[in-house]
Amino acid sequence: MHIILLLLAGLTYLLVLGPILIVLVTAFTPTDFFVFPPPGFSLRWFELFFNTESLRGAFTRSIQIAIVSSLVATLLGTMAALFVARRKGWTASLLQTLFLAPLIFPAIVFGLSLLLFFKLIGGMPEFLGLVIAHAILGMPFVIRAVSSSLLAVDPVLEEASQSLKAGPFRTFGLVTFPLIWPGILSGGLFAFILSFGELNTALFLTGPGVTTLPIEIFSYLQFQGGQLVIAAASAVQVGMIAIVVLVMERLVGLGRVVRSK
Amino acid sequence: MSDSGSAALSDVRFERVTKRYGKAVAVKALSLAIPRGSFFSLLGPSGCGKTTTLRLIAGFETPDEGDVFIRDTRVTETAPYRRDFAMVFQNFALFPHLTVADNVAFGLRMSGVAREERAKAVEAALAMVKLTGFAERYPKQLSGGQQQRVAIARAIVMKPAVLLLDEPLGALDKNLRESMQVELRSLQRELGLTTVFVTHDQEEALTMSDSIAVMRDGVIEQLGAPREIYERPATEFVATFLGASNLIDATVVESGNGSSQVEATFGRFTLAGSHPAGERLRLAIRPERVLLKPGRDSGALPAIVRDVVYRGMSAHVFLESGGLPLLAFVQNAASAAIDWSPGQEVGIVLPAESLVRLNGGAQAHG
Repeated sequence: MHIILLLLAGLTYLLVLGPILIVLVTAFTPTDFFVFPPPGFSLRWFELFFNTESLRGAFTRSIQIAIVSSLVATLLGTMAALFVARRKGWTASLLQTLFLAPLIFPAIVFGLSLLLFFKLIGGMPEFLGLVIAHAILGMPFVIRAVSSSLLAVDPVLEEASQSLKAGPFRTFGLVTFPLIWPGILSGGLFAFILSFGELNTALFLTGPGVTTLPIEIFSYLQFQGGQLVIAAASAVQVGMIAIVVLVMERLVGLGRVVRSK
Repeated sequence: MSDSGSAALSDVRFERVTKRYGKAVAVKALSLAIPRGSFFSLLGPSGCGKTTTLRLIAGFETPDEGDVFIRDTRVTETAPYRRDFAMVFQNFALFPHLTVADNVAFGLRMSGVAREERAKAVEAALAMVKLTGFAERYPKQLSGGQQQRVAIARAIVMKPAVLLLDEPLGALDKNLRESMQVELRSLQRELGLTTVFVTHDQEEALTMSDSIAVMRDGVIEQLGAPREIYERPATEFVATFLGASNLIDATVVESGNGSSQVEATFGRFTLAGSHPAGERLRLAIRPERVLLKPGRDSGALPAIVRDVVYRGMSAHVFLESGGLPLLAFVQNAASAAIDWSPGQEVGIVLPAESLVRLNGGAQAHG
């Protein structure tokens, strides 16, 4: 039994990580075409990636959009979570459902509807449109992360703070926030990762000259196939995400250490 | 100024305060005045409105009707952080991310007290609760009793007009609770702090309070000094909620010279005070005031011992007399004093001065 479980777990990891590992390894190949395993090691495809104007531009734009949209998602999501978490009754549960709606809609429908909506209100610059779309997609994750941190905070602590002459803002800043920031941070970083890799809505909202990295990778594959620079681009993406996850683990892990002291 | 708080200085005053939750009334037209420096307990079963009353003082709840005053300032709609009180919460509610010193300093910081002055006050408060040397610890590194002391230090360092205690000893084990009771009480006396104490533990209320308000269904059933509440309970609820009581329905047979002869199912006995003949009364007597005599003595009422529970310091003797179950506590003053056995025929004496007449008259049930 134990062995079977172990094998199943190994298989799952293989299925999840195997393909990614293949792409990562391939990105370092010196060959012109896909050979596995690669016969040597080279950074030529990374060089090409950073020297290709369209790819580099899409990469920096993706980072910018991810930063701005995740900040917006974190701010709005945290406020929404604060509003909902301590309330009971049907309004709270209705709001909770509404806030999580973007998770349920197929992103492709959401992208199309945003496109139509932006047309209706007379157009929206691509960058801003993408920020809005990604902020909306990221918000549910922030709300969930912050809500669960909030539930772990005894509301009596906030009353204790008020009994010690701290108004609502100082109570939030000095008591609530220090106790829920790991949730805010992990929600925000999750929104960042989500935006950074998002393809579905971006398909509708990007335009000529204003693309994100996933779109650029996608169109490269469609129209110029076979180039291993895409493997490098993917490796860069995976690398970014890995860094973010590491940061999250370190910071949030650190937060736990501080609190359990 | 109203009549209720005119004579003595009161730190907390309620004027016909009502608080509802939906249709349920938690506190019903409550008026009270808590004298300066006194230790005032709100005692009652859960759901009686005692916690709501405390939260109305703090401002965590706002009354639907009536007014709340702290030191003669009307605070009915004032936000909690603008009211002059401090509170010790049931589960201490220490800030887990702050050290003991920062926890205690929190309120002073919020009030804008300068750093050096703050440090001095924190040190003094920690010394007062015997926690010098724990300043840099975090709450999780402390035992329950120590956390309790931090919570007390955090409250008293504020020098509040009124100190609110919400079942602060409930989370501690019995021995610790008893020693904290004594400590808390002496600290309160030393500082002269007006204190409102919420508890469902009648023994705790009796031990600590200057006065006790026994609450039920959102109203105060009886308010008085511990001894008064225990020895002269006004209602059946007070008589049975605070300690045990024997309840006896009796009818007045004759009256005169400041005493009355009454008759119950098991016989006649004397009651202090004149009552019109024929009146039906409901009486209470504490089990420790019921006297037992061996055999069928003249002047004693006949009873049968049903069970005896040996409790070390005393024995609980369960009796039956005229179909009515009665309970007597007998002190273990000598071996003979507690030497009773089931089935034994005994005589009981109900001393006139120990019988209390309850409000509400006799009821149908026994």
